[in-house]
Amino acid sequence: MKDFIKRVIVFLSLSILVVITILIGSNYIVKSLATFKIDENVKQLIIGHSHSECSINDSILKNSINLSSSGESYFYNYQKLKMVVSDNQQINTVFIEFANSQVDSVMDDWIWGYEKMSFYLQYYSPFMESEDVKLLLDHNSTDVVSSYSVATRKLLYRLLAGDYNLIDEMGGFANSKLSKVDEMIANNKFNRTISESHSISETNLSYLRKMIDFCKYNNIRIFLIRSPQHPLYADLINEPVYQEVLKTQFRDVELLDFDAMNFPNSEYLDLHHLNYKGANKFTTLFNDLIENNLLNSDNKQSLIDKSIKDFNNK
Amino acid sequence: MLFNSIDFAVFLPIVFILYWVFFQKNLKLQNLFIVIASYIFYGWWDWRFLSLILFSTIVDYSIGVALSKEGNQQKRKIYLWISIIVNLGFLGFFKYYNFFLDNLITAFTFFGTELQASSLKIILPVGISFYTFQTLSYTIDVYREKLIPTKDFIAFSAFVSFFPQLVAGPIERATNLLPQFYAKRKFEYHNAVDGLRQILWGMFKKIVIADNCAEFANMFFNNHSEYGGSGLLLGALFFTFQIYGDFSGYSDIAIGTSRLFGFDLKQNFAFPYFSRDMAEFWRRWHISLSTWFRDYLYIPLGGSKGGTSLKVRNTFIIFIVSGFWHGANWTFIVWGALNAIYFLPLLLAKKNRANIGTVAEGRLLPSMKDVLNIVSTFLLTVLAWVFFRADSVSHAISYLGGIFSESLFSMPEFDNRTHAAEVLILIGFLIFIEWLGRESQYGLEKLGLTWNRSLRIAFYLGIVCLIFLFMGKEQEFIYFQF
Repeated sequence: MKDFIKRVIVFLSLSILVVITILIGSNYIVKSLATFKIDENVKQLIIGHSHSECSINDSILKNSINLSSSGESYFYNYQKLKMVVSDNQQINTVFIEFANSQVDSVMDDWIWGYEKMSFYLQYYSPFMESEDVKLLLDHNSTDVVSSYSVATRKLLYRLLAGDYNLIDEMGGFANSKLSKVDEMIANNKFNRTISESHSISETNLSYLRKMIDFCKYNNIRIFLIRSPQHPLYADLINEPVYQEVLKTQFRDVELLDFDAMNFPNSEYLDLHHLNYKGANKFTTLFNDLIENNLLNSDNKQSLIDKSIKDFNNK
Repeated sequence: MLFNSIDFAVFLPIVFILYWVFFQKNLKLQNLFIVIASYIFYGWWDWRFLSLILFSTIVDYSIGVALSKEGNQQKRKIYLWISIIVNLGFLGFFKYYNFFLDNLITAFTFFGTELQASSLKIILPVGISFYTFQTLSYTIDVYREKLIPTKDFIAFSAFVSFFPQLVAGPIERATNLLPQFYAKRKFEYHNAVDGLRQILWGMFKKIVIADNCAEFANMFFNNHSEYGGSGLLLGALFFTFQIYGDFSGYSDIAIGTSRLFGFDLKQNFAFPYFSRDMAEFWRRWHISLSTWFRDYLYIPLGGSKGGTSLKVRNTFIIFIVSGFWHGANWTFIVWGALNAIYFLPLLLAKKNRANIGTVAEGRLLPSMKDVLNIVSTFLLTVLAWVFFRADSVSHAISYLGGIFSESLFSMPEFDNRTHAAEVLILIGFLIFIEWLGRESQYGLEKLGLTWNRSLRIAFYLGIVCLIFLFMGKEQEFIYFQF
């Protein structure tokens, strides 16, 4: 019996050691070898979730790269931002998507829900701080383990393939060709994602704050941006909450608000995303504004509003 | 608590050490400790149902004692029927009340009368289908005088509540398990090591195979109208391995855990997907349930004796009841009936015992004939599982209709195909190991025993790594819902 227990303990210890070695080893190697290098001419970075992923065509917006990714909360945006900026010192401006859904408590599930964790940890786990891991463990320890399982497996494949250039996998302009708005309106589906109570995700907003502070610390200009959304988009119902958060928590950052832009239904993918047609028009307008010195102007939103008015009247 | 949970990982070593260190010397204490540990294990799910299992234990123990004293055949029959009514009554109420009510309402409505009745919100006690059948086997065997009834209430309670097999089987016969509580268990090193090996293999089947297959099975079954024939067939295939990995994995963990405590449970799955015909399949799948129905329902009905109509009747009864045991849904009844249709031709042609031994026994590879038989039996099983998994009969028919469409021969289109390929490779690994171990009690039993120690340890560590790397979102064991 003693011999049995001794051998079991030895085997279990070996098992834990092997698993931890694989887990830590794969993360360490990827962290050491990963590169986030982008073109030297790129000076502007766009980060966010699917709204900016669908709305900003970085082949139109000069000297920029869009690394927005569908379903990505600020928690994961932050990890990406740190890595990309560290490897690309030429970046001097960052635009962070700030949509209505991003203040809502639904974003909590986007941080520590199994679906998102198991997808994003493969990219970001090597670069996370211990407090980030602790946050995930505190909120969903069961799924953290299985998410790390998926992440470790993907990291091992990456090691085997020798593929350490993560930039291409971290987001990009969606260039969506579809348009489902008419069908959605006909079926009374208005893309509601936010919570019934309109409660706030303090965690998600804290990571937005981290991104802002990180940019300021690195002397990078930082702007919040709200891409155009269809007027019937259901999440606009939390606009008062959204404005309150902006006023109380992020008054030190300017919001470039393009939500008032109107497009025909055929230029939206659905009620909260533009498709490629809408994106090209929006990005062209945005690019023109930047070329006309928007980012250095004192009255940015007035300039934006005027452009939007002219656009809407065409 | 789930076998693959942190709770159980803490519970098991504590119980193991206390059992062998403090309770080894006294049989009564050893059994009492099993009862306490088992009640803690069961109460972890829902403490409210402890009273149910305790009541069932008291009723059947008392009936056993009464049967031991009663010589009058009429009175003995009454005692037996009390046990049957109490056990099946509980099962019927908790599991089938709403089903019968809903169907009664539907029937009345069909005939133009509205029946006012509302269904109840009934929680199904975990394991009720298993332990009620286990205790029934006791009272029936005592009635038949195949077993001397026990006067040891603690031993009997331990037999009823024995935690490794309480919630999802194997359904143990009193003739096999109860006597094991009459003698002190002694720690046997090789049994314990073998038990751990079986637990490891069971964990692999559950975590790596079943839980990963579940992701795709759910995707295809829950949105079947979005996929083509080849995708739906793949979904059915994933479910086929999900249910096998889940249920046989659980059985392996249960049997392995029992061996840690010195108990020997019967094999519950004997590599059923290597069966050469459906009769062989039913001798290898969920053996404890199918033999239970054979001994306590099929044979009393006359079995395969008598004329053709009797054989047909008994076959349909046994398979439909077996299907119905799984759940209160017409899909299970249809699944059972379909298996009866598969089985009958073999029975009527007296070919149901054509394949008794293990396929390719003593050889590495099967013959072409065996391969064809295995593949065709497997495909029939896959198609039948569609009814088992579907939410309703119409869902199953729609799903099958989707399989047999033009798109059956096109490449399946769905998300996460890379992960699906990984899972198919793992299924291949499972089949390989189980093929090599098909003459053993479980796949890993004898594999590697002749290798040198380091290689064997490395192999087991490899399985541990696979479990870690393919640990998907935790899924409950499918058979807990039964």
